[in-house]
Amino acid sequence: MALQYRHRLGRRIIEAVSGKNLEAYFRERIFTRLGMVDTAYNPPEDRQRRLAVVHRRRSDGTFQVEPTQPPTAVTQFIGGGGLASTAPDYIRFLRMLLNEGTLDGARIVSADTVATMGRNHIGSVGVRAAKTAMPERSSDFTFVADGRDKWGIGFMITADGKPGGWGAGSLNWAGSTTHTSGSIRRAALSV
Amino acid sequence: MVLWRAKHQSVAFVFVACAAYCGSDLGAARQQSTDEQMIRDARARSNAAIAAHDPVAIGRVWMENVHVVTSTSVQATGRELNQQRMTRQFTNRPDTIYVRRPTAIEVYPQWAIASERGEWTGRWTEPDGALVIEGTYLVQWRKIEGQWLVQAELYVPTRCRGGSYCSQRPAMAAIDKVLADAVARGEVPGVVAMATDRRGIVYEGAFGVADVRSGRPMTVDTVFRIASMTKPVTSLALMQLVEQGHVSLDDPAEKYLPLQLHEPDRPRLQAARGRIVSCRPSPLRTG
Repeated sequence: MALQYRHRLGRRIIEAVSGKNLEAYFRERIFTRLGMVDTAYNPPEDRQRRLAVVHRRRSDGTFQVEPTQPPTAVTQFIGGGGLASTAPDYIRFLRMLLNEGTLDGARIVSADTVATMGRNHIGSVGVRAAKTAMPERSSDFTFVADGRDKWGIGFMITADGKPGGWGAGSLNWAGSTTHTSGSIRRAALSV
Repeated sequence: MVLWRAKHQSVAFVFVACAAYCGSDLGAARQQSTDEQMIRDARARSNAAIAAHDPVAIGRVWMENVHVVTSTSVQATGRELNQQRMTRQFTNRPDTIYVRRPTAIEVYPQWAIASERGEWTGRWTEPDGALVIEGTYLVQWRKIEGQWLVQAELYVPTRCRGGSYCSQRPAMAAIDKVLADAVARGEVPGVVAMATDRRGIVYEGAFGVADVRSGRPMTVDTVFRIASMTKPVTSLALMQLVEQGHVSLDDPAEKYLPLQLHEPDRPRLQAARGRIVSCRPSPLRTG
């Protein structure tokens, strides 16, 4: 899939330019500085006891534990997935973005970089809504305003504000949304 | 003589000054009472609009970018959003009535701005019975093109008589309910949700189980495989290198990656030539 491919490329550039593997780079330059203590490719054993297992839906609608759980030891540090984290940790990542690149005195990126990440980078092209390929594992991506949402860098940009929903111009991806338009700034996370 | 003249001048001076001062003061006081009356009238119209459940009329006293902090600490900016908020309340609680009674209106004419302080009461029927909630409020009014409009409203509850609405902050309870219901309906085995603003966490909740086999409960610090939520981290990492000048988004990717001939990604990489688009998916959906 194109999406995975791009992040594979991103990971390779990061590793080639920084001279570190992605796991070490994340740890040293992002997680430690942001105090994301529970975020890693390979969570230590005590944290694995707190790990939510992957479930699948049976045909009768109930859940069962997925027979093949993702491995607990990751050797391929891919850029498109693979991290283990918690809501409190990921919210620190989002709060850093809300604070224009800084959190509790640690500057991770500049305010200009955060602004660049939140700008449309695909011109007049829009993001398409997607049907799930595995209905037992995932719902459709119905949250996409088909053909009108945009891509920033790392986040999708919501075209339409909905009352009680994401605001126009808010950034989201997978389980997180970051609202940075207007005078109120807030972020939310759900996993 | 000199002394007298000095005294006389002094007296005259004081008199003139007083005349000028008192004159302007009277005019200002008249204008101030007109402004105060205009605000009282607007408040009365707003109360009537709420009694009539008429969001359009409620919106007439609000500026386009009005900011409201509700008694449940919900913050809503914009006339339309606040009208929708009122409509939602009227739909969910059809007997809703809110009354604002101003106790002090102070106008600061030089800035065309005014303060309205007072007491408010809200009454409606919750599923577990009748509710009366009361408190204080503060409104910032601004005079724009001769008309007083609300820039901001702040409602603080101080008394509440009723059932569960009074004992638990409704905004938090509402989020809890959405998540707990999703678990109860079997939409998800478990869920953790958290919300923050720039300063810190404003909501957290965990419902259901992290493992249906053992029934281990979901907790706020449950560890998840976050899958694609890794991507924004990768993007941020690359952007750190961009702002340090090590990578430019406008360079071809090959500049940083010596490719071998058997490189399976090569055709795609060549297609991506011109700009590094590594941290956003291709709009072309090639794969």
